[in-house]
Amino acid sequence: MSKLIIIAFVFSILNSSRANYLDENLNKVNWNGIEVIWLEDDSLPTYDFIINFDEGAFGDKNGFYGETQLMFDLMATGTSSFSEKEILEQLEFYGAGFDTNITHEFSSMRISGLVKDIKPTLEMVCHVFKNANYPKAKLKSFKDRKAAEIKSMVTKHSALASLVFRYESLRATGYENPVKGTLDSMSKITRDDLKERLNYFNEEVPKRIYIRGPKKSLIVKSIILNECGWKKINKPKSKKEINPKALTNVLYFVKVPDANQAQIRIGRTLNSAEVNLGKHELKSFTSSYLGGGFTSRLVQELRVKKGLTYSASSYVSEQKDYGRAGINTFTKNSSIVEMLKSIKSVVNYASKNISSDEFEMAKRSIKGNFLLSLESSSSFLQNLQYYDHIGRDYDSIYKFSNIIDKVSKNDMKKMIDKIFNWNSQVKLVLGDKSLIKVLKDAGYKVVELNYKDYL
Amino acid sequence: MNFKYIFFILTIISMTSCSSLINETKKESISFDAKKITLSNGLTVISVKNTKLPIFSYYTYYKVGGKYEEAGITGASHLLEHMMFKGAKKYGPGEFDRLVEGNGGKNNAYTTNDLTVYYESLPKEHFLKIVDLEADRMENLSLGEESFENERNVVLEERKMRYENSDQGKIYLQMMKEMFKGTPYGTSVIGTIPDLKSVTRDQIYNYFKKFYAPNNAVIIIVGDLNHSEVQTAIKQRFAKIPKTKNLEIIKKEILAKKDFNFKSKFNREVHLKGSSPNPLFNLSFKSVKVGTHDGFVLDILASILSDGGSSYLTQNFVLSKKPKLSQVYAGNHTLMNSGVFYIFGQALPGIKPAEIKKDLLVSLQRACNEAITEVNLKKIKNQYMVSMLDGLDTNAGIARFLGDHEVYYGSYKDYDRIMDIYEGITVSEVKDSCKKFLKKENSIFLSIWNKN
Repeated sequence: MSKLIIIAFVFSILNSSRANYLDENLNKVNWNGIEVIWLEDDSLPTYDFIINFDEGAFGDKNGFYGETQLMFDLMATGTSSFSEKEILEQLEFYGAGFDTNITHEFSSMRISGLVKDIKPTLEMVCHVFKNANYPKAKLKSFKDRKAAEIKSMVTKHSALASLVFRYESLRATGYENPVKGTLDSMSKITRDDLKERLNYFNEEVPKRIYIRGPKKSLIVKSIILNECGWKKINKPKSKKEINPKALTNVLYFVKVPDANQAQIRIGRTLNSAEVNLGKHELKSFTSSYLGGGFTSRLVQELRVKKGLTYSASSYVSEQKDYGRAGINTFTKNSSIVEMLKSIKSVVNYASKNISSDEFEMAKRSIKGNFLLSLESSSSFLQNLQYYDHIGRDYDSIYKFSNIIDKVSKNDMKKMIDKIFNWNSQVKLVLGDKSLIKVLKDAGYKVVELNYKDYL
Repeated sequence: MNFKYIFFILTIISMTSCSSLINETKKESISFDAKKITLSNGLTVISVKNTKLPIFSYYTYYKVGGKYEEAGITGASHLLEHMMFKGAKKYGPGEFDRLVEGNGGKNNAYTTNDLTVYYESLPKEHFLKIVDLEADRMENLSLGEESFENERNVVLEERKMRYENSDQGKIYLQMMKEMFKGTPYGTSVIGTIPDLKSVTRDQIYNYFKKFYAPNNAVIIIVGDLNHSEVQTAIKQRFAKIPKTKNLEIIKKEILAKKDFNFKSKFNREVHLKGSSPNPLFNLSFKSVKVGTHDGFVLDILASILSDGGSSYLTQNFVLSKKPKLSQVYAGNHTLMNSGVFYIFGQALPGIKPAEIKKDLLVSLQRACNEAITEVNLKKIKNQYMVSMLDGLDTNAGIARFLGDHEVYYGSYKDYDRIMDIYEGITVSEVKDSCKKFLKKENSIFLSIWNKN
């Protein structure tokens, strides 16, 4: 049965108790000890192929941040047999798509294309995994480009605000260093570091494979086993303890030139206890209620009612060992104080008052959106990958609606207060230097940060 | 499965060589379970049955965009797009979002120089409600004063975010302004700041009454719905909405006053002050309107030049031994009445705009001979096919695909014809277009950085 039909079935059994139907439709295959999750789907002559590695940027050597990202980014720059141009020409000729996703906890490579070309495509992918030699000139050139890109971040206010905020809110947790590295850390990384890291990924990192496509997609089994040479690797997952030490009683300010808008980031790191608490659906529901769409509390107050901004959003995102929650928005310089007050007021109000109408509407909204988010084949596959990473059963996907139905207003109010309580948030504004006085005059204890320290 | 693949366009190749197998080609075409009707008031409706999930996507194309705006109301189409979510007669302020999101759906909209498009995706049981909402706002938009003023502020903030605070946004706006100077495409879709501050609610209302009519709209509905239930619901709710009389004449008159022929002075440079430490640049050439054969050929040319790491410009300027750019991208931006072919990129430290311009022009001349090969042409055709199939993975993707073909090319069924056109394009055609269009005398070079 195709994946699309599976999801259709999901829609139809939202409230049913049939728990074993996954066994009938989702195929778990064992390739010489490597777990393969295959969603049979013959609706299009295309495939998605995700290789999941149980290792991420957290494993970068101390001071060599960005090593894992660089290892993936530069993998196709040359092997003993092929130049970068030859590799790219071969792969792009098939129209194949490639994405890598490096997080602190895991890494993945997604390959997609036409089923008829899956074999030669994966052959080349495996060749690159086994033989990438990271030519020095390519490494230097790549670093130069990345350095120019990082230095240009001063013009990308939203991205810059998020970068600095991420560091400060995760300070001293071990997760604060960016996956992509910094100017300083990248400059230290050599081709030997990358080869060593790739070898580690090939030989010692546990892998899982996700495939969406018709049965023919499985013909790549021998390529994965023989040409990639991957095998089962037993490595128990360790658990890391996270105790954030970020300052919450100050307002961080990042001065940038030519800013006629102020970027605002408010949020915090979830500690281990909060991540281990589970309640993922309730956390998602909470962020959706506060800032998940046009009817959310933040958008209604900040955009619809007050016209202070074009967009406002909130999030709660979790990996296995750590999580983050926050609010992102921006406003014109003249309304920065009103904006901060308004956000505080929305969160405080929502932690005490939730109308039944809004609550029920938010429930219908998150349930529907969750299901719509599974419509795309690749996002469905990524959902499965994420569930495996955090150790949840696929059944959770199908229980989502029922779990949301059981959430009470009181549960929601408590969760808003627990996660978004104003006094526990790291607060950051990025904008024109004139705002420093405005914010100080409004009573904020402003701590100035230099964005260059974070590049 | 409601659409099926009959035969294949794509090449079967081995790992050893691309060129040895490029003549082994089979063609695939796609078909949809689609029906099109036109109501007596001129409303065009296309329904596509796709039972894979009990959901649907609903797209409404209004054939109005920035090019119809008169002096003093630039940005009207886009501001009106915002106001379309602010309440109508039956469903008041906020109701649209409450009903869509409150029923588990999602919605949004976008405005271009030529079109304004609205879309929603929901579980299928809410189909009738969406039809009612869309009809209500087409027929009786409120445009309340208070929400109008709020939305004016929101758009001003959006303008800052997208353009004023972004060197990339600034250079794009300037490219349109310079290339299409003196034509309707020379004004920005988001509007100028003075116009956005001065436009009145009545001006926007008049604009709405003129252009938001059934005979100026195309609706595409894709999902788990029968054609009969779609047609019945649409007729029931939309048939009574009067069309704008003489709309085609009105539109023709507006556009007749506006000449789309290029009037700008070419072969010149424009340098903007920005904040980027390294120059961003845009080298633009006159192009052609959508749907012309030259337009399709130029699409392929743009892809050969910059799609993927193996493309000509990427290899020569980004991944070369002595790279000069951190990124480069070529695009053929075809509009309904004109077009622009552009090369956009950012320099590495130490590379100045004058050097980029000189090198690019020389390189493009070489590209017209060196880059356009059988292998590269086939590669791009393969990539187009994969990209198209990827886009058909969702109801919204199918609706957009068919809607674009209906509005830009005249019939949603034209996808097969368009695919045939791309497939039939030859190396010599691309070479000829390259030499014909990428001429210095038809170009404008723009740069922006903190040293201009």
